[in-house]
Amino acid sequence: MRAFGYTVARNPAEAVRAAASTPNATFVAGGTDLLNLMRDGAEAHDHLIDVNRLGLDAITLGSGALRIGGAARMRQVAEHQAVRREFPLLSEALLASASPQVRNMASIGGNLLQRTRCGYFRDAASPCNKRVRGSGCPAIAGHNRGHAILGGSEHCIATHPSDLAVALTALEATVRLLGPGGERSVPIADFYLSPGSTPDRETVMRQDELITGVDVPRTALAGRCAT
Amino acid sequence: MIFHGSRFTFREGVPPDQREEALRALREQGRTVPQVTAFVVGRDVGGEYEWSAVFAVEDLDSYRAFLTHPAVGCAERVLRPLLGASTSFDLTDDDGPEAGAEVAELRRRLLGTPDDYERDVPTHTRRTVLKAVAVGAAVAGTGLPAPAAAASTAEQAYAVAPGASVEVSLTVNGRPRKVVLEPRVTLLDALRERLGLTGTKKGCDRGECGACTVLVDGERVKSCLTLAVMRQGAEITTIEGLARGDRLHPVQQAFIRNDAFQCGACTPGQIMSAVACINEGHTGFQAEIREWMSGNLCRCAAYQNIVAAVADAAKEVRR
Repeated sequence: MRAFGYTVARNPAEAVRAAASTPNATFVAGGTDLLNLMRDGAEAHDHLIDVNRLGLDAITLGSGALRIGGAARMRQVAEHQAVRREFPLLSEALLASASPQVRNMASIGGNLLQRTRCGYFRDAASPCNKRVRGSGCPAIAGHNRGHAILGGSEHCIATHPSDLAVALTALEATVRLLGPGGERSVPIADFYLSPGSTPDRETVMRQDELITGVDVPRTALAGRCAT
Repeated sequence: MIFHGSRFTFREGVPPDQREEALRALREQGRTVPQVTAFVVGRDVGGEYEWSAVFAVEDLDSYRAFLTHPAVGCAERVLRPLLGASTSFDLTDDDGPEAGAEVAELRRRLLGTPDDYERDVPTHTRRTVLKAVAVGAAVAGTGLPAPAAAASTAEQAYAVAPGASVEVSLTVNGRPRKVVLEPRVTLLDALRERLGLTGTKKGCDRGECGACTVLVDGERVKSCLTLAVMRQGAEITTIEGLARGDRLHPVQQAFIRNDAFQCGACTPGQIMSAVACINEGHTGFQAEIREWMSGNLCRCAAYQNIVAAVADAAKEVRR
């Protein structure tokens, strides 16, 4: 991996200020996807901002919604009593993902921002419109088993790897974001962008915004959803 | 004494708040780099530059420590993109014949070009450790205001520049250890290359095979997918930490009893994962063991015996 700088922030506001003012910086929580992206050259960052010590790992069940902190770990959410009881779909989607070790490490925010497993995207020697806009898409005519049947474009047919994102979409969750300008909430259906002609833009997030959490509305339906 | 100075003018169009922030970063640098005995950041009057900053340090060693302090590198990164015209200089009141040349040489090596800077920052000796404890400076370096409350929290904020090293304290197999490393060093490499604990294996080095599994604060993780700096203060258990003297851990004994390996390369990871799997209580039946040991691959395909060993050890532990 190329050398990079590293910042430990103490609270969310500080973390987003650091992201806004440090050139080519990104956040790191579990690092389980990011480290491989950086090793492979699919992403290059000059600075990582550690968001593991911001107190964003709480899971709370309110009267109207379940609130999951962005830095909560996959295992923590999957095993949480209230999640298992009232949102079994979330627990099952998480347990269907990755491995027990990775579930101990990977955060919820990071899970939602995983990059596609498309082999051409991960291979820095291949062209890829998602990695370098306008460079082409070998997947469309190449090895495309497992790629998108619906929702792709002539520029990109990659799929999103998160099982959790699918479950959260079914449950009409909302993603909470914090940026230097303040907080905003985005319904998860609006959070992800279709590839269109700009597959390098995957979400509505700005570079200096941080996922502080996810809110999942409590409904009778949620308790009866499973994989 | 050595005086390190710079004179600069902001680029046109840099908004006042960014100017303020850059000047604040410079002042914070003066306040928090311990070697700085005096400094001034002020209006440069009567010349062609708007601002000047001068930092005084005692001697050549202090000057080196100053130039390689993470806060200085970070402040530099904040300031540089905002600059129009700028120049920098060094003064020394040491009139020894070599003094000036030594200062110039050190400065050329450490600040010559950005590339030189990164390459020449010494990273792995105790003496040149860039202990990243400068709360205010580091925060200022990344463009953050430095709240006065910073020092009062247990979790200190800090920052290090690319190429610089950090001291990380870990408890490894019950022993407190300190390692000095760059942020890009994984926990796996820290254990194997820096602490000499080669029992933990590097298989795929991308989180798929599980050979690098260790326990961090009692939970199993893949040590190739986490940075050592992210584990500051953590308690790590590796395969070397399981046995009690000559007495093997029950899981190690069960692996031998059940012949649960062939070449042995995945075995340390399998055993660490099994220890956690049993602690987590995922050993009720064979399929459950297979599912919860699925993060560990065995190219010899000794899976049957591994599953038997885990079931065996789980019984032992429950007994």
